[in-house]
Amino acid sequence: MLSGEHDRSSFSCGVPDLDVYIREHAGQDAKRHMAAVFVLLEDRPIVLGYYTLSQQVISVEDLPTDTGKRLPRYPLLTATLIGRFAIDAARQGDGLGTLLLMDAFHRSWRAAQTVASYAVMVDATDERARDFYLRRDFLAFRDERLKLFMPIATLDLLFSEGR
Amino acid sequence: MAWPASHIEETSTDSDAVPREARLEIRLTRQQKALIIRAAAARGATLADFVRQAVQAAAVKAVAEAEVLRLSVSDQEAFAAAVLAPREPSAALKSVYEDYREQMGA
Repeated sequence: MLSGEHDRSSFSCGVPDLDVYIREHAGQDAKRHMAAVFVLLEDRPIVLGYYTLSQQVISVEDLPTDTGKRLPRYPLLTATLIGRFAIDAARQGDGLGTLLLMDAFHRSWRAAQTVASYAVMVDATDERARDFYLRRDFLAFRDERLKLFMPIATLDLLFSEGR
Repeated sequence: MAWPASHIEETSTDSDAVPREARLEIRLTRQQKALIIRAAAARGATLADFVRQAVQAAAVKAVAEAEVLRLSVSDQEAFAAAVLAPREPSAALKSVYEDYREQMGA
């Protein structure tokens, strides 16, 4: 969890919006519970990467009711949104993003045991980010090109093994 | 007033005593302002109260709608199908999870 001890003043991932967010706005969002902010550190309290989680509601009101009957809370389904996700440019390519994403999966999956969630959603900033998520099992929509999702039920299969 | 457009401003005829901490000043056409004055009169409200309530209600609605993800019908179908019949995680994802467990000391 982000706190005041974490140095993020020099964070730079190459996407200005994501840099400004962690430097200037993330603290406020976390305080107001607008989004939970998680940071990646190594031995020093310098932020190497971060992501945010919040709730999202997905409307499936156009689906036929027989499909809807199989979805509790139809026609509005809750999901967990990775609203922002970034790795410092100096450390991109080190596999940190993959680990950070797994952390987001694990945390979202654990949270889903308490607050219902059907999927982890993500907004990709560009095609490169989209490819990154696709290679890590995210599913694509046909029309919403930069939105992707990972069913919590798939994470159930991933994390429940050997338990 | 020499401007082509009117303002809506709060006035001292404000009916309730809640202290107001912020101001909103917008320019609009004379026709718009005349219509809003008629509407407020029809409701028996002051201009300021009428605008406050109407704008607040519209804002609450807009925020609620913005927070709901609206997908095309085919995307809704894809989403429902995928959450109802989940795919197995890939071998690659499983191995990422193994790495993650090692690194996190779990």
